[in-house]
Amino acid sequence: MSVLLDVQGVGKAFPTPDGSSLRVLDAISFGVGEGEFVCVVGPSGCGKTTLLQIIGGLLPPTDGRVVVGGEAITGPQRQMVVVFQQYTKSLLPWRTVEGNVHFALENLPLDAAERVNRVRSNLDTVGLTGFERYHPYQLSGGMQQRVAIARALAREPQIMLMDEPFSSVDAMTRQGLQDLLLGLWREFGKTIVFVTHDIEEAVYLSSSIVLLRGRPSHAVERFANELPYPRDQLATREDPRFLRYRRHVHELIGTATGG
Amino acid sequence: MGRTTRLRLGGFAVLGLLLVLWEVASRAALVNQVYVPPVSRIGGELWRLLLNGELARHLGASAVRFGLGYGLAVAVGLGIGLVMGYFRAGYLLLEPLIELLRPLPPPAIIPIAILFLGIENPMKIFVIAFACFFPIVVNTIQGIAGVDRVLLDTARTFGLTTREIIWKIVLPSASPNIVAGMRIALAIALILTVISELVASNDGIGFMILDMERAFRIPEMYAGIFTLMVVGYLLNRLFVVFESRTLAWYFGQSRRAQE
Ligand SMILES: Nc1ncnc2c1ncn2[C@@H]1O[C@H](COP(=O)(O)OP(=O)(O)O)[C@@H](O)[C@H]1O
Ligand SMILES: [Mg+2]
Repeated sequence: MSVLLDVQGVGKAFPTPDGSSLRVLDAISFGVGEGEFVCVVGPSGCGKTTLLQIIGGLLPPTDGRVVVGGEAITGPQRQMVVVFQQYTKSLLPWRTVEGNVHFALENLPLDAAERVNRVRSNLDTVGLTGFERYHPYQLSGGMQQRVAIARALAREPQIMLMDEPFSSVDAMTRQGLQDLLLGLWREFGKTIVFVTHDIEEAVYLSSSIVLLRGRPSHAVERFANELPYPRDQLATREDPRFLRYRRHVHELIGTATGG
Repeated sequence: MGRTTRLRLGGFAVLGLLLVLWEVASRAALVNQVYVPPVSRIGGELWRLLLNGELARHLGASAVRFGLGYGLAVAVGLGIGLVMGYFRAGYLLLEPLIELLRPLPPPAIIPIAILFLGIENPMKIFVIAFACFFPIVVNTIQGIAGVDRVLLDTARTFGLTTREIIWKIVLPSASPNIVAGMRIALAIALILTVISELVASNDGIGFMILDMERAFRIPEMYAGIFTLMVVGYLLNRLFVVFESRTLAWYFGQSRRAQE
């Protein structure tokens, strides 16, 4: 498998109010192969969002670099798109559902008919047909996040970077969204980097896991997740390998956070 | 009939009653009939001024000043507000100037405006625009400051240019504040239209009121004042319609948030 996305020694420090600097990430390196579903797991506040924003070209790293398709990036890339944790804030509240998806296509070299087509088909993909004319505030949290996913998909990116996209919906909705995402990933062959603090979610979704721990965070381990696809919310979660991975991740991250 | 409807009708009744009292008090000479002519006479004069086109001439003259002054303030206020709100350098460069000019009561600039622009329309339009400019600028800046980080990052991950970000994210997102500023400016525009016509003019509704008072045509003077009330009322109603059209998404969202 060829490496599509390479995180090379990425570190990040933020200036603090007292004039010193807070180091959040340190020498993080891992590669992501084409078509992989990599989950980056770490506790809250460990710098997952920061890392994802650096990978997405939204934030410059203090050191190291991110290489996509052989070239170090300096800003957002056409073939990557970030799906944000706060979907309520990431949708344009003044646009309808279809307007929000259309928004993602307006600066692509497509003709009008193709745009309309993509809006329709991607809303269909995430099961939102019939809600085209709704405004975001008229939708549930899960539906809003599906709009955000449809919008990202509509750009037909090679790589999707997802920042705890399901962390603020209820457990049942979350499982539905996880299966939706897995279905999309398998159908469209995207490469996905998905950060989460939810260990079970990471084990359930990923084809490969990167563990972050420590202060500043560094990548302590990277391993392939051998659980077979397609996955199933009941069967997969009862699989002994699932439990083993879960324990493994718990132990590694737990020792670092002291709990 | 609901309580609200009854009270609302009651409100009109209070107004009607007051007018009747006025009429009676004036006719019974309980008040000085010269200074407080009966409402019916004022109405009659109003009707006459309406028919002979005099009112239309004055209203038209005022409307031109009002419209141009207000329009100019909206255009310039939005532009400067955008430069100051979105670009840090713009803010730092212009803030001292704006903050120094803002506390000046707008009528105080009329003498300077007369010096440079004469006493005709350019002076009046300038004075109206000057006064309306500040609430629009200040509210635009405030609206832009409130644009959510996530929304801007969303635009960046989709590769929007600065120009696109301004048109598609910043301005719509700030529109509730911008419209609030425009609403404040609307009332100010009316005030300054009248003031500028009181100072130096030979037409306009403000001039008409003053002129009638000087000519001791008191009923006509009141007719002018009544006209101003109705114009102010209608402008406000018109603005409410404009507001509910452009900000439907915002009001919908706020309602939802309160549930
Ligand atoms: N722009 C910033 N300025 C200063 N500190 C920041 C900034 N962004 C994040 N941080 C800090 O970096 C740390 C990691 O934040 P974040 O990446 O959001 O973690 P996570 O997503 O894993 O919860 C936190 O301590 C946070 O306070
Ligand atoms: Mg985060």
